[in-house]
Amino acid sequence: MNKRFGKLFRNISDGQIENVVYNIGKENYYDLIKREQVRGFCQCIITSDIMISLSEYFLIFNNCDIISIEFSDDDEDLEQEISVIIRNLKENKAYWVSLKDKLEYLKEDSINIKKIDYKKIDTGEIFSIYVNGIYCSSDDMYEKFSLDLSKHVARCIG
Amino acid sequence: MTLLTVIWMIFKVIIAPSISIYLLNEFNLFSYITFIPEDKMFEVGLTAYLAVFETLFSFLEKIIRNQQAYISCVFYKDKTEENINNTPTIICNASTSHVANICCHIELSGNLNRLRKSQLSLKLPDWLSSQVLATDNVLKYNENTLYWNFDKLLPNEKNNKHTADCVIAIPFIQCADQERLQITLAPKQEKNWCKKFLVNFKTNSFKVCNKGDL
Repeated sequence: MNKRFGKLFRNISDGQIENVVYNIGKENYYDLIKREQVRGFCQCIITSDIMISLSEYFLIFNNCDIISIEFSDDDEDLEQEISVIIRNLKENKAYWVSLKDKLEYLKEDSINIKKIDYKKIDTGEIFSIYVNGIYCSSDDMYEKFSLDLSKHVARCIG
Repeated sequence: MTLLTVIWMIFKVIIAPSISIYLLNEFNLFSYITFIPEDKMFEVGLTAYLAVFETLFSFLEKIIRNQQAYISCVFYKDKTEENINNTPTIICNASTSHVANICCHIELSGNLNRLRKSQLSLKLPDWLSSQVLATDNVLKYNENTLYWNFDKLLPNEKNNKHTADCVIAIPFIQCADQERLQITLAPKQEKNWCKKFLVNFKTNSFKVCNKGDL
C-alpha cells in the first residue's frame, strides 16, 4: 500500500486551511514552506489541543482506532502507560475518557503530542498526523482524509 | 522606585513647603486668630498649610493609584521554572519536528478600564511563525505578530479594580533554516505617554534557537 504525505497550510488573509502534497524525500521541507509563504500561506501547527480534538473525531465519528502516540519527551514509563490505555481503548471506546484526561494532564505538564497513528477499523488503512501539520495515509483514502482533516483543523484555529 | 514615586517625593519635600511659605507670606489666615501669639503665627500657619497640602496630595495620590493597572507576563517552559527573572530557551529544529512551545502566565490587577484597553504585542522574526486556537479569547495572531488583549478576560462591570490571570501555551514553528538561528523575544506594551505612568508592565524574555548549545 503506497503512502502519500501532505502538509496543512493556512491562508493568511482568509484563514482557510489548504492541504498540499508533500513529496517527502524528493522535496526539500523548507523549499515547500517558502513556496507556500510566497503564495500567502503559513504553516499549521497541530497542537495537543487539536490532536485531542482530532482523536475524538476519528475515534467516535469515523470508526477508527488509535495505534500509537508519540510525545515530545522520551519517557518509557509514560509510553507503557499510554500503550495500556490504547489497548483497552480498542476493546472499549469508553476508555477514551481516561486517555483524553491523561493527554490533557500531560499538556499542562508541557509534555506535548508529536505524532498519532490511527487505523480505520473497516479497511485496516493506517494514517498519521504530525505536530508540524504533516500527515500521511494510503493513496486510496488520501483525498477524503485530507479534506476531513482540513475542515476539522479550520474549526480549531483562530 | 518608580518615576511616579520620585515625582511625589519632590513635590512633598520641595514644592509643597515652597508653595506653603509663599502663600503664608501673601496671606496668613492665622493672623486673624487673636489668641495665637504673634511670634508663633508663622509657625502655626506653616504647619496648617503643610497639612492642607499633605491632605491634597494624599487625595491626588489615591486618585492616581486608582487609575493604575499592573500587568505581569511570565514565560516559562516548565511550571517549576516559572520565574520572572528567568529567560527560558526553547528549541525548534528537526528533532522537535520544527515545533516548540512556551507557556505564558498573565496576571492582571488594578483599574479595570485601563486593563481592558491595554494591549501587548510580540513581533516574530520571519523564520518563526505561531498560531492561536479559535477558542482563545486573549491571544490573537496577525501578520506574524502575537497580540494580547484583555477585554474578554475581564468582567464588564463598574468595579474599579479587579484581578485576573490566565496561562496560555504558545506554539512556534520554524519556517526557515540556517546553520545557527537564535532570537530573544519579549512582548512590548502598546502605550502612549499616559499609559507609561499608569500601566505598570513587567515581563521576562525567552530565547528561541535551532541548536541546543546556543
